[in-house]
Amino acid sequence: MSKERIDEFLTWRGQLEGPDGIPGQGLDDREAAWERVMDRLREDPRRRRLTGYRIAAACLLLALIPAARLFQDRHPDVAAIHKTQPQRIPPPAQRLTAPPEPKRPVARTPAGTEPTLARTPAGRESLKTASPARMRRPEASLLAVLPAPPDTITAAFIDPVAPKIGLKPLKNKELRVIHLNEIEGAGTPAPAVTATRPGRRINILFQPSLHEIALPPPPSSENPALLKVKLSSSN
Amino acid sequence: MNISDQIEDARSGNAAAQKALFNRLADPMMALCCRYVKNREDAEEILLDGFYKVFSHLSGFRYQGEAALYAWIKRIMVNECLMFLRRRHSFAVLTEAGTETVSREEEPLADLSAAEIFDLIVRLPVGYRTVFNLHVREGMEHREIAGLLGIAEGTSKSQLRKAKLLLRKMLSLKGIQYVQRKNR
Repeated sequence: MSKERIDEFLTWRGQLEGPDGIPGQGLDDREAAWERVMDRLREDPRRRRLTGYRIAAACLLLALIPAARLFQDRHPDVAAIHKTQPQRIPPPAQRLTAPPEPKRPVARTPAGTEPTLARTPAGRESLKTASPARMRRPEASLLAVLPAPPDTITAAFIDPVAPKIGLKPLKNKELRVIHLNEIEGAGTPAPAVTATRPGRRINILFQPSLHEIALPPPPSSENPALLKVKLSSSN
Repeated sequence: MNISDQIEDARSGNAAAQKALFNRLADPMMALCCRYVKNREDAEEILLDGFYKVFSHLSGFRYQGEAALYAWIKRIMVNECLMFLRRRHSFAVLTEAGTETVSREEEPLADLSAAEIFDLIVRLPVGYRTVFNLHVREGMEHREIAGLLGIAEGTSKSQLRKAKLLLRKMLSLKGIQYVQRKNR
């Protein structure tokens, strides 16, 4: 289209511009129109706030998902670590206090029996093991390694119904005192405590009778974990 | 109070300043909306939507003179009109017309009052009217119009051509009626 034809319409712009350009084309009720605009503007902050809360909630959810996954990934490691640690049982309500006499190592008897103490005529204290038939098998055969002070290792054998058995000497029986770690099987490393501290005292506390059995003096430093206990026989 | 102070007060949320600005620009913007939309109620709705956007985004507007403010508000109103028309009509159905020659014997459009011009424009079909308004009134190029309406550039040109032909026909008829009235 030619330029003249285009320009003929452009002159209309000037005629239509300005407040007098189009008489009678304004708002019929300006006040009412303004009120409606104001109402919409007042509603807007509330709507924006709600939108803001929704966006914040969505962002929080999105942030929690990787955190939950991270925790989930960590949790098996934590559980695995706990599995390798020895099970710990809270210390018993009653515990034996340190006896005034010099302490001697205590022998651990085989399972199903309860050690008894008897004095031989020579004055040597010996450990007697009662026959299994006489004793009632303890119901709770749980050995626990309790958190101990640095200079002692304490183990508690919980036997609520263990009868009191008098000490009877055994004849020519030797018991080897082993550390609890050695029970778990071959290859278990030697306990660091007894290996490095030969003079260490080992007390085994039996609950609820709480017998502390005194054993012969500790062995030489060559093999501190190995104790020879001479028992007298009575049966 | 000059308009720049009015803008600053309105930007800070002063209701009185906002109302003064609204009163100043409501009538011209209403006339603009009526050029695009025949129905006055629809035009008023578009006007209110437009002013809501103006005051919502006034904080982001950088005042560089009254002309710039007017152009900015006018652009918002035109966009609102186009959005309204797009919801009601599909500009995609507009087709390119064949070349139509205009007789040189027809007089160019002139000596018409604003009301008469406005009346002519409003009577145009929506497609013609929209393209005519955007090109002639708003000064947009066909490429821009095509982007706004979602049509081809050639379609925009053909629509404008058709609008002008129709306007000329209407003016011719008007002229004849005017002459006949005068002769009576």
